[in-house]
Amino acid sequence: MPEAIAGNVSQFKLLDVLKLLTSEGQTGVLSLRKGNEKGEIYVDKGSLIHAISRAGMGAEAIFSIATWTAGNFNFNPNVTTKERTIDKDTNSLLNETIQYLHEWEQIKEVIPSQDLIFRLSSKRAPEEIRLQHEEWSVLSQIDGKKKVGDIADELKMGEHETARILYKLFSAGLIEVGTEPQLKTKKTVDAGFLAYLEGKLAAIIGPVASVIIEEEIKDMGEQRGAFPTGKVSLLVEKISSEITDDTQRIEFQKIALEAFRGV
Amino acid sequence: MSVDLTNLNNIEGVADSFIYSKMGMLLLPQLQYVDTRIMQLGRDMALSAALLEKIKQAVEFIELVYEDRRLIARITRDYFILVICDVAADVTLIRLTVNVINEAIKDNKDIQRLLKKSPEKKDLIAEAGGDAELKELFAKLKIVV
Repeated sequence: MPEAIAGNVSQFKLLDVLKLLTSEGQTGVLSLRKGNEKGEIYVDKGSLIHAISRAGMGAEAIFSIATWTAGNFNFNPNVTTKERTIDKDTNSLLNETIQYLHEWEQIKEVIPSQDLIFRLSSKRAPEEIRLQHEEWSVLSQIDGKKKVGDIADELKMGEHETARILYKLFSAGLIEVGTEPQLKTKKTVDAGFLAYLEGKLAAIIGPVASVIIEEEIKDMGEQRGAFPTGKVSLLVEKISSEITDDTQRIEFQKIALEAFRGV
Repeated sequence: MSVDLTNLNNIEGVADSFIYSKMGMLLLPQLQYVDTRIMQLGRDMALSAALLEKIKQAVEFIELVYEDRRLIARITRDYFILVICDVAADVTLIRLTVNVINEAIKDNKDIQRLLKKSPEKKDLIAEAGGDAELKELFAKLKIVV
């Protein structure tokens, strides 16, 4: 095994990378970056011992990073930490991650975007409902106006945890998807603009550009054929983070912004 | 090549943009009058950058969120580009545009000339009049982590 490994999450699934590192009994840190988001997973002699991401620490961090469909990673061997946020057996945690990813796929079908708005269900409530403290906290935020992302921010709860609870409340029939007025009136960019961006990105990083753009658009809960103008800057920022050379990245951003101003 | 902040100022929600030395002295645009508010904004941002440098926290961008506006600054070694915008402005678009402008001006002769003329670097925090100015700064801010 090479001393350091690096790659792109769109090409190598994080779970496969973790399985490789743990089965090889490696020690070191796996650092990941997706746009402005960062994550670190520490492995000690093949055991997962510590993880941190925007979503939290330990298993929560692993679960959230495992859902990334874009971003870069690199593994630096022999880096250790005194932090211990994972006390579970590594194999159990990896199996739980597989289970979590399966659950996440279902959640994404209901909550494809952090911009989604829920309202309290207008249907008759089930006879008996038991809610955990955090479920109640999320339910109390549902007002037909707040977006999923707003609720996560308000409660200082990870996006994944918030989405998981919302999915549970949705499945229990307590909430329903509200109207999305913004979606009906949102301005979208011409498909030619995205094709232009893809061509420019491909000239720098190669044919993987198309995969990265597709994944990022999907990750943002949008479609290529109707991509909102208001999210172009975020898309440019995300896809340009795949360019490792600083000068090339800024040059790409410059070209993208010039094209955007002309849209 | 002259420094052009037009693309930045044309972004929806952007009220104005400036370039200051790290000491908070306005470099560009050069005004024919003294605007104490613009001076104070530069001072607030310079102090915030100095505080972060003091605790060895390397940052490229600082956002100061006030009740009615947002200040976004791209911090470099010798100067910072400050953008004043609405709280609802597209921050990502502003950051990208600032990055592109910074790349274009980092070796700009006008900027270098103005930096040479600006006062030497001082310890802004020590100069801040004890804790009073810092307390005043923090009272104005909503810090977003």
